[in-house]
Amino acid sequence: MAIIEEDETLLAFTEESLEHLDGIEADLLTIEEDGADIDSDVVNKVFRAVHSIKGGAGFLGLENIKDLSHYSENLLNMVRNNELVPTPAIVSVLLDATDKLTSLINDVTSSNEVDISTELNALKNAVKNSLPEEEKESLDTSVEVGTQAHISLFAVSEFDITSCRKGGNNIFILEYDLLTDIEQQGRTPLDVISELQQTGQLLDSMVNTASIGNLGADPDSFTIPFYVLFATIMEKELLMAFLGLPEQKITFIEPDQQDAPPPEQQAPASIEVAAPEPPPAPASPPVAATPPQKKPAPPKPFKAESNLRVNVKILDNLMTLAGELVLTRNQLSQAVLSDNSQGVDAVSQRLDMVTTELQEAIMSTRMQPVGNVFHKFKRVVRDLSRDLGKQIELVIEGEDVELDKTIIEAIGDPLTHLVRNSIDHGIEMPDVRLANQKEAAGTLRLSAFHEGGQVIIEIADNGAGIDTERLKEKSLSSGTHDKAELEAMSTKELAKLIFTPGLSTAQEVSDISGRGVGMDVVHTNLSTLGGIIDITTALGTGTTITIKLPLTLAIIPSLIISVQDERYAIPQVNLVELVRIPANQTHQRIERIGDAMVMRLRGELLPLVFLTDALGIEQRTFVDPTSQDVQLDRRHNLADRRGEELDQEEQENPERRARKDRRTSPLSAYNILVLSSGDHNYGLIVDHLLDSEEIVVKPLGSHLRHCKGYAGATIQGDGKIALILDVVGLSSLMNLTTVAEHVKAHSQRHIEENDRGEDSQTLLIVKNSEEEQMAVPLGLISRIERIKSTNIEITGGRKNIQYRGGSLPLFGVDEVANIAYRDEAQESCYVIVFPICGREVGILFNEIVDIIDIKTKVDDITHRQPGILGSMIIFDHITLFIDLYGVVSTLMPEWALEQSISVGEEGESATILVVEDSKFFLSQITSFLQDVGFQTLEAEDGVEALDILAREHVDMVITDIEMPNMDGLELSRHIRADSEIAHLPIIAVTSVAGKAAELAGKEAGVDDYLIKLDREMIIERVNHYLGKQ
Amino acid sequence: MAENYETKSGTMEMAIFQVGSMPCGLETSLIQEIIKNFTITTVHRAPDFVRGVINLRGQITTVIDLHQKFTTDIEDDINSMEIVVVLFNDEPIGLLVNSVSDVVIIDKENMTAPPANVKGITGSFFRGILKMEQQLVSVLNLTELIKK
Repeated sequence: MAIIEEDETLLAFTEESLEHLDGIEADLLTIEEDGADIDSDVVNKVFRAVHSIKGGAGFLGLENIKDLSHYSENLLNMVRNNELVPTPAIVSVLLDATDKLTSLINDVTSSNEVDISTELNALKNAVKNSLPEEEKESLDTSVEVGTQAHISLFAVSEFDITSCRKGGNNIFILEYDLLTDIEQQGRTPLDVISELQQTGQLLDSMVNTASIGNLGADPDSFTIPFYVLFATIMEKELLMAFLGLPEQKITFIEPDQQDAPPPEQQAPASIEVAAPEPPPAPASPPVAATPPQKKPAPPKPFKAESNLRVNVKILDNLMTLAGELVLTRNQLSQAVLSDNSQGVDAVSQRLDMVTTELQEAIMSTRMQPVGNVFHKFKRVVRDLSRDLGKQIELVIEGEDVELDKTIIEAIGDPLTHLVRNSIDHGIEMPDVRLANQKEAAGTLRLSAFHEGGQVIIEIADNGAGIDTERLKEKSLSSGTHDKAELEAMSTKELAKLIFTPGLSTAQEVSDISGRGVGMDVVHTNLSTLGGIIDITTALGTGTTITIKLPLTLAIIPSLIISVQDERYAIPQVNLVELVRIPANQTHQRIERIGDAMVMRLRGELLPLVFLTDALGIEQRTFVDPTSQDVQLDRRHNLADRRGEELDQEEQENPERRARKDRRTSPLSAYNILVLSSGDHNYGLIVDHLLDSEEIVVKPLGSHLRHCKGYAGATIQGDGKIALILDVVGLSSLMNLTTVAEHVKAHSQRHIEENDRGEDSQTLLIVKNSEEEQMAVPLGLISRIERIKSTNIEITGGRKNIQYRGGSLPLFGVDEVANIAYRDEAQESCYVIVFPICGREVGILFNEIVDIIDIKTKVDDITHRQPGILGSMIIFDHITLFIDLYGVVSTLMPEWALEQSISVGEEGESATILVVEDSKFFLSQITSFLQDVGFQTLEAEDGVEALDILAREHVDMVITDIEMPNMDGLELSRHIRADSEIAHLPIIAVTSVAGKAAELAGKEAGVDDYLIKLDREMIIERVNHYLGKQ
Repeated sequence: MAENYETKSGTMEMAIFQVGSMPCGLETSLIQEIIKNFTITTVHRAPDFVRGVINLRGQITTVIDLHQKFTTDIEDDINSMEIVVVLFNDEPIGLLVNSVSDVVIIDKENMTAPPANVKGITGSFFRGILKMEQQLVSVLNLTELIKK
């Protein structure tokens, strides 16, 4: 029987089968989990899936696929009938068979040549072993059945027939003619098969090519008989009516003859069944159908096309949007013709809307849930953990997160590698885990979530972690890094060494990892997708690998920048932050190490490179900006998050030696993009930052493809081209990796010199007049708005502005504190909006200078007054630290009163221990806690805190995180470990809250994570926890 | 590209343009279009002969500077130049030339094989020399010119 080379049917079959197989694996694993307590729905689902594969394969003459699915079906049938418990061994056999089936179907045309005996025997044995002794034989005994005209059409194992009859089924041979009964009724053979499978069980099917006879001799008598061995509970008459087949085409197989086969039957027995010779009579067509013209196409090599199933709803939506687009175009041309500029405005808005929606809709057709990939790992984890004798629990989170189809397809391999690595090297053997006071079963967590327009995938295990010491040794012995470099590296940087080519931590190369596909390949593969990989590890507690991926590759958000009036786009994925160094600070901030330029950024040294140098632009021209230009630039950049660190000590003792070599340039300020090229960051100096845009990526021509430094090009709104910079390529062009390593060695020393005692604060620097600089902690602010001075209304002696449908009360610091008055004549000013006493208020400022990250001491004596907490030195200026709460409560004492009352009810005379190393914050927190009526105790670090806890009665602990001697996390762990005080609520306060820090806190036993000066929130949470007790 | 020079007889249509001071010709059947007003975006670190890229109806098209290829004399003002767009392996490639002066129908009998070098330029860049009444036109060999 030859394979029918009928592309369409074959294609439909493979597509459908692969879809079925896709689900089977997960279902089989569920079946395994359930064990003896089977969920018949799931088993039935798998059974039906395998069954329909068998049906189609039989028709198409795919013997191997048919056999394999047939025996799988047998096994499943026994599970379904509770004759067999799906032990892991049985499920393994089924899984192997499913794998084989998948590979066979993926290469359908040569499937008949593949050796499937291993899988087939395993299946047969599995069935045999669970059969009662007397029935075992029936498996190997085959019986031939046929019609009168064709005596032996099918060779069926006796087991199949008996198991069918057990269910009270009648067995028939149905004869279809492919042309008259199927083709001409507009159906496909697969339709018929699935119709049959709904009413009964299809045992076997075949197309009798032998009886086709002389093609073309007489077109009228030309038939292609298609035989089906079919078991159903229906009687013959009913079946005739149901299938619309004439009587002579249905042959009933007598049961008695089957039930008594000769015992030592080696040769198949022939069973003749009385049935009239089926004339090739056209069946009475129940449905009117157009007979499609069948072209005798020459057999072509079969190739599966890459197809995508799209929800009809989405298509409808696309159609609607396309209609909208046409309408909008009509409107636009009308508006343009009639020179109606207002109309054009309206239309352009509409066009914007339609385009965005259209883009989203089209994207959604390409989007697939990441669960498609994740669920494959259930199997990987199951198989591997079994092979290695480890116990691993797989947790999957965020499987609904969607990614572009191409990305989903491409991340499969790298993820598999990472998962394998975690299982092989990460999670320890159960006895080792138990010895280390861990649960015997390790956890592997796969999670996906959205963050900042990207998708983050995390692979986290609670295993042994990466032994960085061993990595050091390896790296040293393989000569990739020298000792000094390695000594200077942080744990994180050391962990990243695993991505270095030729470095494997595996003690010995195992079957699972270390077979040539190294972590460096994972790194490269992900990089080509625009993904960024990060790794955190702690020896003994586990490893987390984080992969950042773009949502799609076709349209990417990016930042447009310019040098020398040429525009370039930089993918937002690679952008870490933007830093602007004003002219007067370039000397302190930018230095040279050897011939490389570096910048100090929050205590780290960052290699810098001019984009003009990277692109080989020789002539660099500069426009000397007037001071006004600088002001404008600052405002323009205000929305950008950037942090600059300025160390007082550093300013006072600039390195004299470095100053001589320093590049002196006429440029007044540096715009620096901090870019991440995967394993290291670097700064790119550009002339201007223009805009943030979504760009459509277009490939460069063949002459430019080998040109490093470009990832493609895009066409801008004005029709001009902007080249997209390849952040990784630029870094390798400029040899920044080696620079980065030099820099690391340096920065390590720098960090050691640095005083680590002070917390870093993110501050918003504002001004009301040229001379006086003020700072507000950024964490307390909800928004910054720019308003027109004319919009400020004075009602009831108070300033207000209409804002989001309500009125926003406005205050000035100069109304409270004795500081320079705000110039109210200025056209526009800024409002810092923050919540207080359950409402939002705004404080007015004239100018916003910067947002900086700074470690500095606050002097809370010299400038202390209402509305001012203290002072500090920023940018060589004495800067007043504004007390937002103080300003409002001085001006509106009744608001503050409301709150005190509400506090009084709950927490009277409760004692709170405040642990904080900074005197300033300590006095801040204790004073506002005392204000609302709490008793407070003070400690400067964790050690002192524990001491107090041992002596005094405390109801609650508020602690800073970063402290000398014992930090907040450590303290929390100690408290939680001590049964006497373990119940105490712990609130951690910090300057910068982040999800990662929060998680670390939660793990250590912290109940809540708050911003240091957010007095409202702190009081509210304190009340909450005290109330709960 | 069906460049059929093998048949010695018959006619063909040829676009004539100057590269520097050298008259060059290219079969019109190979030319997709000729564009006049364009903005070339420079691509730094590209090979010398690549002038940059242009936006050809949404497709990023590489522009090759024939002056560079021929190391010919000082170029004129780029604004007066034109770009001859040809298809090479299904990819449009722009050739930067001085303005296209004429399109003529020529007799193939007037074509002769190129000498080993033409005005000091490698002969392989040319398919042949076309003898016209006023001048000798060098017919370009696209494959050699465009290949990297």
